[in-house]
Formats: sequence, structure tokens, C-alpha cells
Amino acid sequence: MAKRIMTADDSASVRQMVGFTLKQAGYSVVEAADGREALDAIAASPVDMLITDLNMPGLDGIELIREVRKDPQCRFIPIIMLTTESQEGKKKEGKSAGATGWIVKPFKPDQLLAVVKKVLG
Amino acid sequence: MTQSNAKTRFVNGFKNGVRRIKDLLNRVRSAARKTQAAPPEAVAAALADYQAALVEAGRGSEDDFLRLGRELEAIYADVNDLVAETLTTIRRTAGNDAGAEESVLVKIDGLVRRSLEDLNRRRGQVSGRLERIDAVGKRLKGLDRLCSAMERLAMNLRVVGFNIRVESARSTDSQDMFGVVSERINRLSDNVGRNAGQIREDVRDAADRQLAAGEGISLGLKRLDGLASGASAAVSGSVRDIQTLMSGALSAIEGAETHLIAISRQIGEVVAGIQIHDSMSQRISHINKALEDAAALCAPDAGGELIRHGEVDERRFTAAHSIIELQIAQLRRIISDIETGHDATQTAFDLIREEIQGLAASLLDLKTDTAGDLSGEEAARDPFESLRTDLLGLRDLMTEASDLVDRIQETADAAVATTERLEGHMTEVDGIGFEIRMIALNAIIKAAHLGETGSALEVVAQEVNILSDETNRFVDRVKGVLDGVVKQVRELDVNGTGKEEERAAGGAADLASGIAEVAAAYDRFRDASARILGRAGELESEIARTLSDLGFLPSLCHELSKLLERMEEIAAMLRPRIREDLRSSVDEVNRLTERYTMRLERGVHRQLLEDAGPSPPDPERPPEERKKSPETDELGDNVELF
Repeated sequence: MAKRIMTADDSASVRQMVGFTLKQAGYSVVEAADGREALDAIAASPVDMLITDLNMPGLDGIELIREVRKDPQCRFIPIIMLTTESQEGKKKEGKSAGATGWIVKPFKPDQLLAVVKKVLG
Repeated sequence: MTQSNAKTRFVNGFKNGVRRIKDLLNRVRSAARKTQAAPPEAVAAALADYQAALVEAGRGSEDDFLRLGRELEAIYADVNDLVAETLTTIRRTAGNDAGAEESVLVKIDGLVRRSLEDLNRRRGQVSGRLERIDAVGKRLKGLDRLCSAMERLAMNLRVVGFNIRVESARSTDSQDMFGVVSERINRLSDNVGRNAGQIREDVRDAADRQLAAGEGISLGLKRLDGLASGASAAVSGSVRDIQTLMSGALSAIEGAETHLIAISRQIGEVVAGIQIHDSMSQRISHINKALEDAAALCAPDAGGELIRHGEVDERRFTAAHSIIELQIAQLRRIISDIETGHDATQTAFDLIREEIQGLAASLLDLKTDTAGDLSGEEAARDPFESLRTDLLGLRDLMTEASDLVDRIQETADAAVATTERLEGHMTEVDGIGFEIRMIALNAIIKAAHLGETGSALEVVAQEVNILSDETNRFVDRVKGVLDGVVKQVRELDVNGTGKEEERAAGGAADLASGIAEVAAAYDRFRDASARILGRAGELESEIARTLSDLGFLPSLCHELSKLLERMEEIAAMLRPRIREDLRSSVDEVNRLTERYTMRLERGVHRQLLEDAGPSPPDPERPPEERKKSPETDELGDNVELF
């Protein structure tokens, strides 16, 4: 059964490219346009991995990670921040919140797939 | 000392004087500029209008980027289908398709090798027949010599018979007793002589036929050698064609895989290019927020009451102007990035198109006439056509060889039929041996009855007995030779039974079926190639359409360039109100760095303000200072796993 990965990003074009990349590799992809939508979708149906943007309206990426980590079912799922942000302070914040890794946009498909493969094992 | 102090005072006084004059001139110029400058409210209003236009420009392109993304997905799906079909076609043709039945080429390879083995085996068998026929000939010659001996025996019998007649004429009793014996011996002698003559005649006839058969087989064998040599060349040609096809297929598969990797790389470039929309949107959002700050600085209520000619105002306008100048640089960078992204995307699609052409052309690595318009030498190089030609040649050779073996068999059959007639003589020869023994015994007994008068006849009777023994020995030898000849000839027949013929027929049928399979595989390959080339053409058209759709990127650049000009005009509106000497003291500009989320934005900021004052602190560690595991390093500079 295909692993289910959620991509949370307020940019439709980024969601589209993440979805395109992951679907080509055989993953099942769920999209959310912001943190709140992502949280609701995960609560309804758990995912195997979360790829989230940092700056999103409503609930931002860091908050989303904190909320997701509160769910015992999601305590150990890989969470990758996919963002234009590259500040060390933000990365530390993301790491403290429970992020597994950080990818600075723009990403290349083989790069994203290598990360996904690595963290999903 | 006094002179020196006076000099210093004079220099200082001169400098102060110059400074005062400069200050005065600045004030005069500033006053002159202010009389030409637009009112600050007009600048604030222009900025508000501008922000709305910029937001609209950023939003307006989202649908275009999404459409480009959908087109990319469709192209990639089509590319994958095309590659899969190309690989399937090549693998089916070359026969290394995992899970597929035995490939045509592998099957044909085995078939042609077996055909050659069969031909060589049959040649060996024919050669063996020739040896046997030679051996039969030698035996028949031996039989011919025995027939001469039998004829001599018949003569001896006739002499003995004559002697008995002479001796028995001496007395009536002897005549009564031996008259019949003499007649029987004479009759037997005739019989032996006639049999010997008949056997000799049949033996010579058989020997002639065997000789003719031997010569026929020998000639056939030479012809068969020629056919075998031709078949061997045809098999070598077929195997070479198969190897060419296999090797071409392997190289085509490698080529197709290389093209797919190259296409995937270029798809990756487009994927990265599409993400510029996200980067652009965020940067436009930051520009808008910065312009809000600039507008606030220009608005009459920004700092309470507006003092139009005071230094506070000059500092605020200078700050607003610096902010706008920075946003001009940020927008210029966005335009430049979109232009670069457009070029990269266009190049990527061009390369994808080239790779697709290369992918379709990889089928031509098999060097087949996919368009069906090769002729002459070009067609001769087509290994499929060459294989079919070689197989047809091999089939013809095998058919000819099979016919030849049949003819050899017929020759051998004829030789067998002739030799079988010799078998009939064995009964007669057996009868002669028995009869002469009976006569000898009878003569000896009768001679004994005659006593003294029969002593001479007894000697002759003993002679008959000796001849009987001699005849029996001859009979045994003739029987032995005949038996041997018949057995050898029968062996000839046994070795040429229908099993071989069935195999030969089966071999020719297999080859015919193989040729049909090669033709079918070739037709399938041609159909698939034509279909793939058609699909590649469609895909190229699809990419050409996408390339023309990329026109939205230059349009976006054009729109943003017009907005850039407008921003420059707004900056120009403020320029008369700024003071260069105050630029370094404005904090509002450095506070903008707090909003930046991208290294790009910080870079533009740093580059523009490098000479204007202290650079903002870099919140990012330089890549060389980052401690990353070798595994993470492989993933790229923009990836960090915690």
C-alpha cells in the first residue's frame, strides 16, 4: 500500500509540484492550503509523513508541527519543512517544534524524493 | 611659533568659510528642489495605487503557473508512457523482456544451430551409408570369386559323374546300381553350374547397382558438403544478425534509459522554475509591506504634524526614498529571476524535446528500416531483413539437403532390393549341399554292396563324398557371404527409416515457422516503431504548445518592468526632498530585514546598502560553516536533516 504524505502550503503551485513529484514515485498525496486545514485532515485520517511550508495564513508551519506532535499517532512521523526560509533561528525553532528536516525552496524532484525515501526508511 | 599659529588659524578659518558657503549652497539647492518636488501626500497616494497594481500582477500569474504545472504533468506522463512503450518494444524484439516467453531471436538462434547440427548429422549418416555400400561391394566381389569355385566344383562333379558312368558300365549290377547315381550327379552338376552362373549374374548386377549407388551417394555427399558449407555460412550470418539485433537492442535500451534520466533532470529544472511563483509572491508581499512603510512615512499623519521644511521631515522622506529604492532593487531582482527562470524553463523544454527525439531515434539503433523506405545497400544492412534472408537461404538449403538425402535413400533402397534377390539363392545352395551328400552316401553304400567288383566305384564314391564336403564348405561360405551382404544392406535400410525423414521435415517446418515468427516480430516492431515515432511527434507538438504558453513569463516580466518604472517615478517624486547625508542614519531600512524569509532578499538588501552604511547581520550560517553529515551533503546545500 502506498505511503500517504501530506503537503501543506498556501502556494497552489508548490502543492502541485510536490504532489506531482511524490505521485510519480508512487506515493499517495493529500494537500492542505494552510496549517488549520492540514491539522483537520490529519485528525480525520493519519498520514505517514508531513511536508509543510513555514509561512502560512492562520496556523503557520511551526505551530502546525507542534499541534501534530501532540497527537500520539503522529509523534514519530517524519515532518519536513519545505520553505523559502533559510534563517538558522527559524530552523532551530522548527527543530525544537519537532521537525525532522528542512528543505529550502526551490526543490528538485530527485532531491525531495531522496529526502522522503531517507526519512520514511 | 607665532607664524605657525597664524597659519593654522587662517586654514581653519578658510575651511569654515568654505563649509558655510557649501551649507548655504545646499540650502539654496534644497529650497530650489522643494519648489519642484511633488507633495508628500501625492507620493503616499501613488504608493497606495501602486501596491494594488503589484498585488494584482503577482496574483494574476498564478493560473498561468498552475497551467504550466498541469502541462508539465501531462508531458511527463506521456514521456513515461513513451519510454515504457519504447523499452517494451525493444525488449520484446530482443527477447530480454522479463517474464516474456522465449524470444523470437533466442528461438531462431537455437533453431538455426539445431538445423546445422541436423544437416551435419545427416551428412554423417549418408557418409556412413557410402562406407557400407563400399563394404557390400567388396563382399560381392568375394562372392563372385566363390561362384567361380562353384563352377569348378560343378565341372568336377561332371567329371566324377562321367567316371561313375564309365566304371559302372563294366558290369550289369554296377550299371543298375550306379546308372541313377551318375544321372543324379550330372543333373546336380548342371544345377550347381546353373546356380553358380545365376548367382554370379545377380552378384554382378547387385555389384553394379551398389557401385552406381555408391557413385550417386558419393556425388550427393559432395553436393551435401557444399550445402552444409552454405548452411554453415547462413547460420553464421543468422547468428551474426541476431547478435547485431541483440546488441543494437541493448544499446537502444541503455540509450532510452539515458534519455529518460536526462528528461527527468530537465523536468526537475521546470519543477524548480515553477516554484518561482511562490518565491515571487512572497517577495512581492514583502515589497508591498515595505511600500506601506514608505507610504506611512510620507503621509501627513505619519509622525503627527507634518513639518514641510524641517530636518525631521527630510529624514523621514530620505527613509521612505531608501525603502523604495531597496524595493526597486528587490523588484528588479524578481524580474531578473523570472527572466532567468523563463530561459531555464525554455531550455529545459527544448532539451526534453531533443531527448524525446533521441529516445524515438534509439529504436533506430536496431538499424531497422522503420520508415520502410530503405533500399539497396541500406536495406542489406538491416539485420531483420538480413536475418530473414539468411533464414530463407537456410531453409532452402535444408530443403535441398532433405531432398538429396531422400534421393540417396532411394538409391540405397534400390541397392537393397537387388541384393535381396541374392537371398533367394541361399535355399537353392543349401539344397545342392544336401543333395550331393545324399548322392555320396548312396554311392558309398552301393559300392560296398558290389564288393570286389565295386572297388573302383567305391573310390569314385569316396571322391563324390569329398566333393560333397567341398561343396558343403562352399555352400557355407556362399551362405556366409550372402548373409553378410544382406545384413549390411538391411542396415542401410534401417538407418534410413522414416524417423530421420520426419526429423528433417520437422526441421524444415520449424525453420518455416521461425521465418514466419521473425517476419511477424519484424512487422510488430515496425508497427510499434511507427506508433512510437507518431507519439514522439505528438509529444513534441505538445511541448511546442507548452513552449508557446511560456509567453506568460515575458508578459509578466513586462508588466513588472512597467511597475518597476512606476516605482522609479515614485522614488523620483521623493528625491528632491531627501538628504544624502541622512541616508546612513535611517533605521527603517534595516528593520525591513526582519520581514525577509529568503537569502535572495537579504542578498539584494546587503548589496544595495553596502556602501550606504552598516550591513544588516546575516542570520544564515554560510554553507561552509554548516556542519552536515555526509549523507545530508549528498542531498544538496538546501537540505538539512536534524
